Amino acid sequence: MEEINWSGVKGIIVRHMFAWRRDLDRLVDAFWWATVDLVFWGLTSRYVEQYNLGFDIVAVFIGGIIFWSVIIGSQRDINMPLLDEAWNRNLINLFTTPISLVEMVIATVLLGLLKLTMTMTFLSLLAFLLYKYNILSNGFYILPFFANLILMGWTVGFIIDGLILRYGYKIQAFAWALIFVIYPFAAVIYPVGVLPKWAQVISRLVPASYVFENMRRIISHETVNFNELVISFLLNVLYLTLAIIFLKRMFRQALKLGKLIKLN
Amino acid sequence: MKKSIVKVRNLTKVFVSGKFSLRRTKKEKVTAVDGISFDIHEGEILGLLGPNGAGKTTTIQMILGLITPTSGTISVFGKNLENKRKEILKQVNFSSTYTHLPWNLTIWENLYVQALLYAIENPKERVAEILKLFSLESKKNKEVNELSSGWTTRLNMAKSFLNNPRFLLLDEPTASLDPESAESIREHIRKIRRKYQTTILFTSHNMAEVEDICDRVIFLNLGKIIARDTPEGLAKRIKISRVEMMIVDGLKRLRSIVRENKWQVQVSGRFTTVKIPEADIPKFLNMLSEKKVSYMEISIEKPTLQDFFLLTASARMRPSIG
Repeated sequence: MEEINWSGVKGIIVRHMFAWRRDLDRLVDAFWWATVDLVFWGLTSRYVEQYNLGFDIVAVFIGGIIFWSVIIGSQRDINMPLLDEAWNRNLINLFTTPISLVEMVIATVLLGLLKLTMTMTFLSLLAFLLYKYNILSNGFYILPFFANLILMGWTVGFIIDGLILRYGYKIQAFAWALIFVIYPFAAVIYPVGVLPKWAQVISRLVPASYVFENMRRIISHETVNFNELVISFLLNVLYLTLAIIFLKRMFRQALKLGKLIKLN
Repeated sequence: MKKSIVKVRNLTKVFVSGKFSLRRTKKEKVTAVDGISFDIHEGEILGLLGPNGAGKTTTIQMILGLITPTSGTISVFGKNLENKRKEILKQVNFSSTYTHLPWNLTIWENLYVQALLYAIENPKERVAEILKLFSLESKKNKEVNELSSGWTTRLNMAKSFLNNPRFLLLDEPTASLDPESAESIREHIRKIRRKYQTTILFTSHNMAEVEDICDRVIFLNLGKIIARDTPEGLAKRIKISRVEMMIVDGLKRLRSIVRENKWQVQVSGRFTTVKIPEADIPKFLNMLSEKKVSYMEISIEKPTLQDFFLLTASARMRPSIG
């Protein structure tokens, strides 16, 4: 087991925090798109609400959007530091320091959590102010919900990082679209039951689907199925382990094929 | 004899590029580095030269662990790079014209981040020292995107000395700089080398610079080492000197002398240049006198490293030289 260079981990975090102070793109990433989604779907749900569907449609939409933002945000926060270094042509400088891939992953994860905390605090406050939706109404379950969604975002993020390292910029468009392949199966707004049978099978393999199902149970004052959250967690641990193995393999391939240099 | 800091043995890199087609994937193999071996001694500045595509950059990148060799070994400070990469890189640094530090960070921020990455003790104090050493103090709050290429290169160099490296790789550090800025960078390299006895691997397309800075040179072509010597030693391998003069009277007679002796002549404006083996120069001057060729402003130029480079690069020579 390698000894972690915590100073190096701090270095990567500090480097991105310096950039945040001046880079408008990062602010747009963190707040703008999530706010647009929140406002758009909030207004849509307010419109649908007048047809009195028998449940709190605003909470379903707003809760869904906020929790989906956790996945998107966690994924993006894993990918952005790598892309940022490549766009700055700094990858070579970075990988000629005594920084390992593991340390880069640790720094990226910590940085992502920090950024996600800021984004979620902002979105939760905005949801409360605009639609009276209180994310804390999920009670204790907010913790397993968030944990499972973050783990899923990281999994997708690490797979995308691996693809970018191995195949370079040409894979970027596909990489960003990957999360939206999962989107219909995650049952963000609608229950898994409305999906065709074959899609329900896939949905059961998507950890986020269990979170969204249970979020809706809380909104409908039903009992949360804790076993489902455990299944979600176990699936996440499995996928995340595989994603990290994939990332390490792609990194080794990138070194073998000289792709790191080309990415720079 | 000084001990070897870096040992490269039978280093080979074959790149396999796949052109994907629906029927099958066609694979092409390109040997960028072909079984090279060399040592770099403690405190030495070794120049790695060669035309474009010779394998210089691939070699440097393999020594930095950015590319995995196809075969062969690299050991630095007596440790194998493959399994002690992290340990080795703590005492190594790198600067290249072709890499950049983050453009939206200031000079100070960039150096501070790098100091953290290298786990340098008292990073802020070290950054202050380096800023002073490279005369960057007045610009420390400037973002990289506000700097000229000269200042950017100076920053890259400053970064490369942050961890006080025992071994430093400089890949064309002065490319794209004006002569004054390039000289200033060279002066820094000399100063640092004198002060810290840093071992340096240096590449450049500026032969005068290599002659000026390097103790020893390895010449690569088509992935192989075709010569290794001091810069002067390599230049001496070219036996042809240039005698340049202004002919006042007797250009035809001069041409006939050159033709008889199978030398080469080139007339450009008022000046005539004769390419001639160094040993034949006295004979040539005697013949000019005998044939009453009158001339003025004569100069004799000895072969330089540039001549060796041009001859080798243009001939795409195989290991026949040296």
